[in-house]
Amino acid sequence: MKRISLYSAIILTIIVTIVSCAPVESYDEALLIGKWKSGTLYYRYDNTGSGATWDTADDVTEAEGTKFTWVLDQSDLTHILQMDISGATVTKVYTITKLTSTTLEYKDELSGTKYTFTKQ
Amino acid sequence: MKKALKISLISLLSLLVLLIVAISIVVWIVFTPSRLTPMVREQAAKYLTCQTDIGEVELTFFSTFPEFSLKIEGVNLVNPVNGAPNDTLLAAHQATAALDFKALWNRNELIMREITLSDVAVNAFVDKNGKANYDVMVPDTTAKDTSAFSNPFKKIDISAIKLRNAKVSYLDLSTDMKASLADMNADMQLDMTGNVLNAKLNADANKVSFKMDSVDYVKDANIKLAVPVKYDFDNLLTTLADAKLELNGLKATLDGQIGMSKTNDDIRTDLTFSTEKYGLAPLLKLIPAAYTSALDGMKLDGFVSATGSVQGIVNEKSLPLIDVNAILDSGTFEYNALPYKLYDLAGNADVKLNMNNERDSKIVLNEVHAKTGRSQVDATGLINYILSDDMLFDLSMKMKLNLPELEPMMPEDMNIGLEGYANGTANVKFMLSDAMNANLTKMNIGGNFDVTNLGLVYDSISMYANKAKLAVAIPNKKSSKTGFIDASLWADKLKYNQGKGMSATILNADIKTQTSDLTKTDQMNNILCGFRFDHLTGSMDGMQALLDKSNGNLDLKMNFSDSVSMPSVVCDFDIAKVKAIMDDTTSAVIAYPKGRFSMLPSKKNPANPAFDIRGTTGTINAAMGSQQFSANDMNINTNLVYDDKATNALQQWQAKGNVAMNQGKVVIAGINDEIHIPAIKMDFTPDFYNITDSRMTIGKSDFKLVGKLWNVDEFMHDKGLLKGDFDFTSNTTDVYQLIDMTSGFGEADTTATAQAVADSSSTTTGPYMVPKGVDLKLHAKIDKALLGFDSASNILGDIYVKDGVLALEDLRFTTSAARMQITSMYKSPRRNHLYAGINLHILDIEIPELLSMIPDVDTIMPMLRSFRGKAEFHFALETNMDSMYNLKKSTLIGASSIRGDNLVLMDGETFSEIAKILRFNKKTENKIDSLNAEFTIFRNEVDIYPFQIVMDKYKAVVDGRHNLDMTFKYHISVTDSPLPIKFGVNIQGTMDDIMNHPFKCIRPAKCKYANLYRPAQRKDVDTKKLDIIRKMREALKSEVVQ
Repeated sequence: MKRISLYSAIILTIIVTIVSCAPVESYDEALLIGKWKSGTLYYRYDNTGSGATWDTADDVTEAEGTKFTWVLDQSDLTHILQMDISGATVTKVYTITKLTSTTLEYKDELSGTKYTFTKQ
Repeated sequence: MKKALKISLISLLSLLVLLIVAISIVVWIVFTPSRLTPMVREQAAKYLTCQTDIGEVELTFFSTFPEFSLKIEGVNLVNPVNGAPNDTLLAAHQATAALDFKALWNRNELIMREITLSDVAVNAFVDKNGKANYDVMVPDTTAKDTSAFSNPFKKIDISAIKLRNAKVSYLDLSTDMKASLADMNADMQLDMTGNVLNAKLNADANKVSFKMDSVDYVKDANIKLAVPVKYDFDNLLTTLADAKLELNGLKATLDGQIGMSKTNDDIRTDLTFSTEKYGLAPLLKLIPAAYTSALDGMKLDGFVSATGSVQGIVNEKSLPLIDVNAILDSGTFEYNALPYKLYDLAGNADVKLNMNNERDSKIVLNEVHAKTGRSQVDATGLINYILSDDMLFDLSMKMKLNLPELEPMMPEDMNIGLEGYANGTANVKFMLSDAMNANLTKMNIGGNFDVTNLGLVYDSISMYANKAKLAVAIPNKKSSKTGFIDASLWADKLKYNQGKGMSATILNADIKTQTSDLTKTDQMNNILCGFRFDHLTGSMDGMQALLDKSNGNLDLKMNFSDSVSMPSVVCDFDIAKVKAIMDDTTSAVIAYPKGRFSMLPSKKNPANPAFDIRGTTGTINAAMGSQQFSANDMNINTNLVYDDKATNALQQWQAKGNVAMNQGKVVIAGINDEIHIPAIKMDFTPDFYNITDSRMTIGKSDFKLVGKLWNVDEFMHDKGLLKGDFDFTSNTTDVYQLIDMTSGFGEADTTATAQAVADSSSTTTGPYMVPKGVDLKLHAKIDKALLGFDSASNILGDIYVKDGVLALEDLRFTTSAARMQITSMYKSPRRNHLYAGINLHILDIEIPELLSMIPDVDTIMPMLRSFRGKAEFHFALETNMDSMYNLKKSTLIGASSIRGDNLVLMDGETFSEIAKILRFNKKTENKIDSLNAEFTIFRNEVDIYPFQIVMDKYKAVVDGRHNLDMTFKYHISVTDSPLPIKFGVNIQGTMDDIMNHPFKCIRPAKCKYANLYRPAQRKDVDTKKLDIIRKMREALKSEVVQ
C-alpha cells in the first residue's frame, strides 16, 4: 500500500511538473486587427480594442453588426458584447490555436467547437 | 221839272259824249302808243341807270271802261355785272294795270282792278363785293324823308295783282346764297284803309330752290301759299290769320303776329302753326342732307303732324323760342346697325327750341310706342340739349321683350342664345356721347323685369329658369366701392349646365351682384355677390353636391391686368345642410356650416394665396368606403398661407388657428372598433400645436392626450425633428390596437436591401415601422393596459418615439402574476432589419407563471420547469428581426438573472434522472434554500454561469451551455455529498438522448468547481468568473425602481 502511494506520488509529481512546465502560446495582437470571414460570418477587430460581428446570411450589414470589445491575453481571446438596452454584457472566451496574417483559428473550450477565419 | 230833267239829262249826256269825245281825242290823238312810249321810256331813263328796253306802251280806256288801263308790251332791264349768269335783270312779256280813274278823281281813292305781269323773269345777282345788279335806281339826292308813313290816298284797293309764269333767280356770291323759283303764278289782293293794309296772297310755284353755304335747304320744291295778311303801318305789325302754306304737299297753317320795333331792329314774333298729318319719309327728304347725316342708314316712315308756336324777339342777338308738339303714328324704323325693324311707332313729343341758349332746347317724349317682332317698348322721357354737341337722354320705358330677339345685340363672337319673354320697366339717363362710346360709368340705367321661360346658352354653358326676375341698376348707389352696377336675379328653378360634366339646379335662387367698373382692367375691381337659395343640386364629373337653405355673401377684389397677384375673395356663408357625394362609397353631410372663407394675397408674396377659414358646423357625417367620420359640432378658425418656394405639399401650406370638435366618431379600415372622440380642442401655428383637450375612445381603449407639439417648421423643412411632449392618460389601453394604429407613420425605408425589398411585397403590410423625424414624449398614466396575454394595471412611465425609435422607459405596472418594470426599445431602420430590446424586471413571480407568460424562457433555461415558488427575474435581451419578426439569431444577445428562495424542486424530467443517479430521497419534497443563476445568450448559445444549489445532502455547482437547437452540455460539480470525494458529472446531448442512452450522455467528470464557493481556496479563474457574474447581476438589477 505504501509502495502504491509512493508510486502515485512520484507519478503525480512528474505530471504536475510536466504540466506546469508546458509552454503557454502567445499571439500577436497586430495580426488580429482586420476583418475576418468564416462563411457568411464576419468579425472585425479594430486596433482600439473594439470590434463588430455580423452574419450576412441574416441580411445584416457591417454597419449593423453587433459591437464588442476584445482582449487578447496570450491565447485567450475574450469578446465582451455590450447590450444597448442594458448595462449588462455578454462575455465569450475563446482559445486561439492559430493566428497568422491570413488565418485565425480559435476554440470554444466549453463546447469544443473550433472556428476558422480567413483574413479579408 | 220833267223838262228840266230832260234838259239835264240831255246836258249830262252831251257832256258825257263830249267827255268821251275829248278822251277819245286824247287817247287816240294825244296818248297814242307812238306818243306815249317815248314818254315812258324817257321817264324810265330818268329813274333807272341800267339799260331799259320798253316795248310799246298803250293806254286804253274803252276796252277797260270805266277804268284806264296801261299795257306795256315787253320790258327788259339789262345790267351786266361781272360774274352774273345773265345780263338781263328783268324781263316781262307784258304788264298791264287798270286804274279806277273816277275814284281817284272824285274820292282820292286808288282803286285798281288788276295789275298783271306775265312771263316775268328776274335774274338778281350780287357779286362777292356786294355789288348787286338790281341796284339800278338813280340815287335820290333829296333829303331823307324821316316823317312817319302817311297814306296819300283815302283808300287803296287793288283787286288783283297777278303774276303769271314768273321765274326768279337770285345769286349772292357775297353770302354764298342761291335761290330760284319757276312757274310761279300769284294772285294778290290788296286793300288799304288808313294805315292798315290788308292783303291776301295766293301763290304757287314749282321748282323752288334755296341753297346756302353749299347746303340745299329747298330743292325743286312745290310751294303753295294762301296767306291773308294785315299790316298796320302805324304799329309796324303784321298779322297772319289762318295763313296756309304748302310745301311739297306738307300743309301748314300759320297764325299770329310779327311786329317791328319802331326804335330798333327788333322783330317781335308771336306765331302759332299747325301741320296736317304728313308722311315722315317725304318730310325727311325736305331736310337738308347735311342735317340728316345722323340718320344715315336709317329708314324712317310713318305719319307726323305738329302744332307749335314761334315766340320772341328776333334781332342780331336773339331768336324766338320755338315750341312744337309733334305726333307720330303708324311709324316704321329700320337701321343698318340695328338688327330690328320697328313698327307701329307712335308717339307724342314736345320739341322746345331755344336757339339763344342751346342748353335749353329739348324734346319731351310724352309717349312713344314701338314694336319689333314680339317685343314692345313704351317710353316717356326727355331728350335734352338737342342743339348742343351732346344730347341728354332721360327715358322711362315699359318693355315687353321676346328675348330671342335680343340675340343679335349680343357680341357676335360670343354666339349667345336666348329664350324667354321679359316684361318690365327700364329707366335710362345718359349723354349721347357716352352711349356712343359705351361709357357705362357715366350712364344711368335701371330696369326690372319679370322673365318667363328664361334660357341662355353660351358656348358649352346653358342656363334655364321657368320664372325669373332680373333687376339692373347702373350706377349702383348702394356702395361707392361697387358703384358701377347693381344686378339681381331671382329664379324659381334655375338649371345650369356646363358641358356634359357639370350641372346644377337651384330652387328659389336669389342672387344679387354689385361690381365696380369691370371694363377698367387696370384697377382693383370689386365684385360683391349675395346669394340665397332654398336648395342646390350640383354635379361635376360624377361628384354631386346638395345644399339646403343657403345664403351668403361673396366679396371679390382683383385687378384683371395684374396677372401676378392673387385675387381677394371673402365669402360669408350660412347653410342649413351640405351634402357632397364623390361616388357610391364616398360622401359627406355637414349640417349648418356657418362662417367665413377668405382667400387673400399673401403679404409675403402677393402671388401666393392666404386662406382664412372661420366657421362652425353642426353635425358632420362623412364616409369613404368603409371609413367613416362623424361629429356633433366643429369649430374652425384657421389661417393658411401658401409658400410656393417650399418643396413639398405639406411645407407649402402654413397653418395657424384653432380647431375644436365634440362627440366625433371615426371608423377606419383595418381598425375593427369605432374611434369615439368626445372632444378635441387645439391651437396651432405653423410651428406649434397646443392640444388643450383631446379625448378618444377606441374599442376597449380610451385616451386623453394633452400636450404640445413644436418644431413643426424645421420638421417640414427636413431640418429637425418634430418634437412633442404629451400627457397620455387612459383608463384602459389596448396596446396591440395602439401599435396597429400608429404603424408606418412617416416610414421611408431608404436603406432596405434588395433582399428586404423582395421580402416586402407590399407597403401596406409588414412590420410596425416607428415614425421617423419625430421626437415625441408621452407621459403615460394608464390604469389598465391590455397586453394580449394579460393585462397590466397602474402603468406609469414614459414612452418615447424619436426618429425611428420607440422606447418605453422604466414603465412600471402590475400584472396578475407579478409587479413588473420594463424598459424596451424598438427600432425600424429598415423594413427587413428591425431591432427589439427589452430590459424586463419581474418581481415576486411564480416560476410556472413566468414560463407561462414568457414561454421563450423555458426554451432558454428549461431547468426552470423543475422549480416552483416565487422568484425574481431580471432579463435583458436584444436582437434584430426580419420583416416577419423572425429572429436574426446572429444578432441575438441577452443576459438574465434569476433569484429564488425556498424553491421547490419539481418532478422535472431532467432532475428526475439526476436524482435517480444521485439517489435522492424521492419521498421528500426537496426545497432549495436559494437559487442565484445568471445566464447569457449569444446567437444560438445560452451560457449558464456557475450557480450553486443545495439540496438534500448535496451541494452542487451547475454550469453549462444550452443551445437553441435544444442540445446542451451541462456540468455539475458535486462539492458536498455523502461520498468523501468531490466529483463531477457531465450531461451532454438532448433530452431524448438522455432518455434513450443515459449512460452515454451522463458521464462522470472532474469536479470543475470544487472550490468556487470556498473563497479561501478559490482560483483566479474562478474569481474572474464570479466577477463577471456579479457585474452582470448588478447591471441587470441596477435599473429596478423600488
